[in-house]
Amino acid sequence: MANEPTERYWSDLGLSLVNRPSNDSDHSKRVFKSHYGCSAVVVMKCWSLIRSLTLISSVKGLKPCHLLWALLFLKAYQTEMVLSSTTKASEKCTRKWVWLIIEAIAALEDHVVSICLISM
Amino acid sequence: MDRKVNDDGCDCLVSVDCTDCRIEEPHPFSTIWYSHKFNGPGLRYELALSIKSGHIVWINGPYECGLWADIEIFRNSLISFLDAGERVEADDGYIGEEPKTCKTPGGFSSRTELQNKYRMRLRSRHETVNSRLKNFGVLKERFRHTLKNHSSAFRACAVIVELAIELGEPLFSL
Repeated sequence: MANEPTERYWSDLGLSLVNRPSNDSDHSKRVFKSHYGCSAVVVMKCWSLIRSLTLISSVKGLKPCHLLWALLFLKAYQTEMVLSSTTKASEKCTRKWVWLIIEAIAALEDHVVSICLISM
Repeated sequence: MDRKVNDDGCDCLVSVDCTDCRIEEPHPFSTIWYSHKFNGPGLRYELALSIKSGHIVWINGPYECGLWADIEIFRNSLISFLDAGERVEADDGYIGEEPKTCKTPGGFSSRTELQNKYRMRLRSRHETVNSRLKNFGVLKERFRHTLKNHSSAFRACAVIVELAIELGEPLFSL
């Protein structure tokens, strides 16, 4: 898909969301992973899959930062009030996007995790 | 990811285990949610890993911890998807299915020292996946949302862990 965000884009976006400086160092990668539970490469792949395999891309207003909100929620599991101060959005808006994205990632289960149920 | 990747004809293709997650006490109170692991309410999920590739190939749940033992969850679903003669590597909670569909450390099919060491490493590797899942606070802490949301959160975490395994963070080799 054209114009897919790069790994560097996700790294910069993720670290700026949590007010941390961004560069190519190992430390930045560790900071990113400790906030979101996975590396920027995984986020990039996840974004690509949910956009191509789920109906989430048809939802108006979807932005890459919403995926990071969901990952931040899954990793830190803060209360909505605390999370919304990080996302700089209202609690209602944060809640809406976090659960929409979580549902979309969960829907990738059939694509990413499969035991190949039908014996050939 | 297919469990038959790199299959060399072994009867065991996957390792199976369950993991419990804390939830808030549902109302009205019932013992069906009781998890002996937390001495409190929880939900149980079954995970299977491909032995050869180390990928997550199966997620099943959630089940009420007090109502469903590991082996009952296995009998309820995964067992019906195994090929004829296929078995799974599991811990002693599955000994009731030994030797027909499971290989367990306490079973009589586990005899040689070398085989037992291999199986110990296999089960340790499975625990690392549980550990990676519990790195997510949503699964480690007591879940504050609805039970339906818990299923989505667990599956989302499992998908992320599996993508990480595929994209450069593999489990240790056996």
